[in-house]
Amino acid sequence: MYPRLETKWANPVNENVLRAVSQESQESFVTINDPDSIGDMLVSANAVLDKMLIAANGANYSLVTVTFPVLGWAENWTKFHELATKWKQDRSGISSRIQNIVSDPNYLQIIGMGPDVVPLILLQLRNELKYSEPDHWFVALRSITGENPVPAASRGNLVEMAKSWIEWGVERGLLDAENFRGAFSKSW
Amino acid sequence: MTQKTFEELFPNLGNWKKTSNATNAYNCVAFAASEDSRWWDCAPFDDYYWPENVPRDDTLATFIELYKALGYQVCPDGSLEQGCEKIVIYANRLGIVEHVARQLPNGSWTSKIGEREDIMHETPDSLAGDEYGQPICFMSRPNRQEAAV
Repeated sequence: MYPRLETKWANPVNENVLRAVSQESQESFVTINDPDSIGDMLVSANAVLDKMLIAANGANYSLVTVTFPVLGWAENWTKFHELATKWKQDRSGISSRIQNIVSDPNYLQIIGMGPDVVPLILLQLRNELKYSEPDHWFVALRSITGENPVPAASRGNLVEMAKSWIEWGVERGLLDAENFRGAFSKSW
Repeated sequence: MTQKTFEELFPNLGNWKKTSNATNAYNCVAFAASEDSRWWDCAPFDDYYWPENVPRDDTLATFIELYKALGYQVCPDGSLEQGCEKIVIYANRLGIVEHVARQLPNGSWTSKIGEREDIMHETPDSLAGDEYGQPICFMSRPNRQEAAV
């Protein structure tokens, strides 16, 4: 499903190789899988060079797998990424009421994307868990899937909530322990 | 869009001090109850923590019930009283609770501002305005540390 290009490089990274990889991409978005350093993340083709260079500065960095996504996948990611960015940027951050936070039109549009967006939310959540703090994706996940895998004892603890949802996604093959699978046709 | 500053959001803020980094690990409702590891929320969907025996709505009556379960009783004002811990509940014009702050031992107040930082502010009125409404209910309980002694 995903044409795969694997590139191995040594430190210091050859910038020309990175640029060539970036330009070779015919799609707008790629997945970088670098478990030793930055983890896998989704970035635009324009940003991929920077991300790779950042990754390359990590001491343990040795291998990058670039996965070229199918077209529909990229479109979904683009839409999700734009809406998520607006949701994060537009809110004042001063409300303590979750209803205020998730009633934002951008957030509601993400919910409106339906099951296809679930793997993307889970990936976003996993990256937030790894690099910053989990955001309030739980209402969207619950609304779309009709499920709530978070045990009662963990409710309100955003880190534990994120872990529960990621585990839920792994169990259903929407992402695995390290890599995003983008399995849109999966049902739960 | 750049986030507005606290001075822009709270015109009556006066002197204030940031006392933590921004985090969404907890909110003001939890922070007023001296908890900093969970987000307490009364939304009808039960994704977030809310005590089981308290109704899930955002009215003042419900929040009074919430903090009564933690040992607080309604009191007349936010004056500093020896041996007491106080909180203040803010509500908007519709009576919806928007914020809760906690009094510090020196008489000033501390608030967790939504998903942003904890701050220290001089009075409950410091945060009054369009965002959080007005401080409309004070509650107190015996200081737990002194009670333990």
